Amino acid sequence: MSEPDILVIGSGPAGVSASVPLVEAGRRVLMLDGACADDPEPSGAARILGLALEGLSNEDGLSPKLRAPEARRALADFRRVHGVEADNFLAVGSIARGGLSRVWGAFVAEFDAADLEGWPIGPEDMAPSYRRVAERIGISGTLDDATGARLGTVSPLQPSLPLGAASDMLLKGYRGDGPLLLGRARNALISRSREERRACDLRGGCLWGCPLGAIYDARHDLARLMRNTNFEVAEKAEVVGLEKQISGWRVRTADGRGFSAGRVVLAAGTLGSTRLVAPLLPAIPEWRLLSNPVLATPLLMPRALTASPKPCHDLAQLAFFLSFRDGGDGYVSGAVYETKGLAASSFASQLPLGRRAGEAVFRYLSPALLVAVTYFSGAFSDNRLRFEQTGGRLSIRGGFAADFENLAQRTSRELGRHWRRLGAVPMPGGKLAIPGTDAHFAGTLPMGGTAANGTNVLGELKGLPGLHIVDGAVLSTLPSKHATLTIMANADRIGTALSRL
Amino acid sequence: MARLLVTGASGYIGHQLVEIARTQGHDVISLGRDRADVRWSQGEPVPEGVFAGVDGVIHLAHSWEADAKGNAGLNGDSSEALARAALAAGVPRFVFASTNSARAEARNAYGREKFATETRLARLPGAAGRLVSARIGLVYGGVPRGQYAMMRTLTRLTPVLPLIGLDRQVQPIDLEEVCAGLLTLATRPDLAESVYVLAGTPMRFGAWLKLLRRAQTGSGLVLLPLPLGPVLALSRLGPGSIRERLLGLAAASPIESTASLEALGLSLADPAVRLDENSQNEIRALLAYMGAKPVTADMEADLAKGMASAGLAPIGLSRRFVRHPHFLALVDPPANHWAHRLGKALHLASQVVAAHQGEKPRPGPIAIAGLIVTDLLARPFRLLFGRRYR
Repeated sequence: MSEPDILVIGSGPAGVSASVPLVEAGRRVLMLDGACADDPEPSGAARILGLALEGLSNEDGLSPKLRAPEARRALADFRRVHGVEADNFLAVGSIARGGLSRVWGAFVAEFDAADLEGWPIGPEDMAPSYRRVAERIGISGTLDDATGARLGTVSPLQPSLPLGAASDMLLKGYRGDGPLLLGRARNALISRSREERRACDLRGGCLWGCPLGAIYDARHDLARLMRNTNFEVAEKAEVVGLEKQISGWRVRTADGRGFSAGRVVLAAGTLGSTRLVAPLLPAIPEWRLLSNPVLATPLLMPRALTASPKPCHDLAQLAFFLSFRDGGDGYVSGAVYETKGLAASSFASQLPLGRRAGEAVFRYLSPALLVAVTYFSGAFSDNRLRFEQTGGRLSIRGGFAADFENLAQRTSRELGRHWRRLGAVPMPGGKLAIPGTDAHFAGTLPMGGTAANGTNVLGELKGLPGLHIVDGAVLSTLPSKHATLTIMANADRIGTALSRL
Repeated sequence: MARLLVTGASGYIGHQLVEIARTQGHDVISLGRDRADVRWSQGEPVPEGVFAGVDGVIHLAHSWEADAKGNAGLNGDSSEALARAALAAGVPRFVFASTNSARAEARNAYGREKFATETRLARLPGAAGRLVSARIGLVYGGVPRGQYAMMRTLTRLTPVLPLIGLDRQVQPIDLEEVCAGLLTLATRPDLAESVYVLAGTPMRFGAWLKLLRRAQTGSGLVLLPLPLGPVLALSRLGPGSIRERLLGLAAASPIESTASLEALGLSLADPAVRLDENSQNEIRALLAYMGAKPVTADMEADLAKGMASAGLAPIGLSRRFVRHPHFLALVDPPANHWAHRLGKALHLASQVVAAHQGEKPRPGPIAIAGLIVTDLLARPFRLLFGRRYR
């Protein structure tokens, strides 16, 4: 390719979402990817244990999702490359092709007017992009229940997939007469086959990656993009520096290569992008990093112990909302998961029983065992990020806002009452996870922000035109809802705007 | 079967010796600091009446504290008092545990002292043909303790190791082989020599360390030889026991063991094979306990790799568990004790089994109730016996 019009840094959900409208509009796009074309997909036991046995481990503090070998590999490389130091914080990120979409939970939701409070854009600006992204990635879910409207009305939906037995019981017991909203989850998981991706057949084992391609992964889009002659990927291009030129930008990589273009779209993930942008800004002593405080509670549906099991996927089964006050940060949202897809060994590690007995207990309980994962608004996170100019390292100190833990306890108790009314028994062991476990990082370069790190509606910083940050870093706030779909839609929105310039 | 009295029964060799002797049907009275029939340690008065009906004494006890505090006489005096009492009580056989570094002119106090004690005991009235010294080489295997545990940790933690005495020759011998030799000596009065050597084929200390690292991590070890003089000078700053250990290393020189081993009917295993065999047998036992049916070579390979990278191989499981994996239920630690070595190994084994043969079928409510009750009943045993594999 002769000199590209636009360099896109990062091959994750934000990078591909910004690229699609640009490539469709005929712009020449060169994507810089820190990884390279993939290793062959492991099969058999290696799918679970990892090709280098990364999955075989004694770390039990991690969420099941982050324990899978895929996630371990991604995290290890990410921390090495970005030199992230973390204190009371789980620094999750990925430099693998496809970014964090390789290990995500695939839960999707649209931000509504209340969620977009404080943003320089409104629902009408986002709607076309939500529609395009949803169409592209394939979403299954429904509008016809209590949570349908809250999850968004714009995205085209494929039919919902069947629920597991315990989730089904929980939902059937729901009358819709209290403050709790409960309905079917909405996932980037297809129930109708399309192109190379085949519909979910409820085979399970989702945590280890989907061999059908039913769960969306940015690599699907990347494969499609690569069929265009005006799109190319530079592999192993681990970006280490950005330089403003008289016209346009120059990007340096770790192996000494340099790339130039009129515009740069930065989609390295919130932590990666922040690290690349920080040297261009006047020194900021401490940055605020938003994340969603997360609380996981095991729920037992005793009636499901004797019911015949139903095949289901391992992604979120149900979605719920509970408001505790007015405003965009005044509610929690969450997802209910079945547990049959979890490894008995990690559950047993939480029990004071011998390993064999503990695992047998889990196998007995798991058809009736659900996990409710509750997310709080990023407004309740208090994570501090420092950038060290000399070594280029990030250090993050995780924390919660003052008095948050009381709120979390109150909310947890109230949710517990609702679960009991629906026939589920909250089990001990529910606790706030260490900050960062959610991997929903955002807000270091907020759109509409007035300080030096604020960006405009095109993700540009003051005095640095032509550098467009399009990932989670530019979210103005981080509501309780899962942000991935919004990050993708926002990248699509900015990409579309750039394609018209 | 014989009635045997074993001192130092809570130590590295003693613990295993008592276990093996008892499985072979011997009647054992154990003397030791803790977890023994009679609480006794070197320097204390000889317990009364313990020699009644005893066919053989195996005297393993040794006080390192006394050595470190410069009270070198304590071990010799105490051993002499014990041997004198045993011989006077008519015990037909007294086996004194000595070292392959026992020499009049040994550089380390331990070697000189053991030699001096050997000589003193041999001169006791009635010693001829009844008192025998076993000069023991570098013991490995079993549950890692003492010097063996230290060498394992050292070689596991770092791929590069600066050390003195790498060229000296050591004579590794497996713990079970030592125990077999000691039991033979204690029960066969027809073995008439006054000294027998329980030590393996000499090999360079450096090569031994490399072997230990390979057995545990599967990777190599780079050794940096340090000059002895300056290191010894530096060691004067630390506690006396460090200097003593260094001198012990520097003084190591091989002694002939073929004739002794032949007389005792021992043919020693190659340590490389032995270390590997131990972990391989253990791996099979762990997989079988976690429900592998059958244990396949692929599972073994995965667990071996996982245990090596976690620094867990070998755990040092006793033979009982290796032969009868279901007895592991007696030591299987509560699964939320994450730091427990056996617990970690079982966790890895469980993941390997699940990955290879899928999660097991769901048990019924009665089976679960039974399992939980059994588990709670076994708990005191686990906390007690499982401590060995922490």
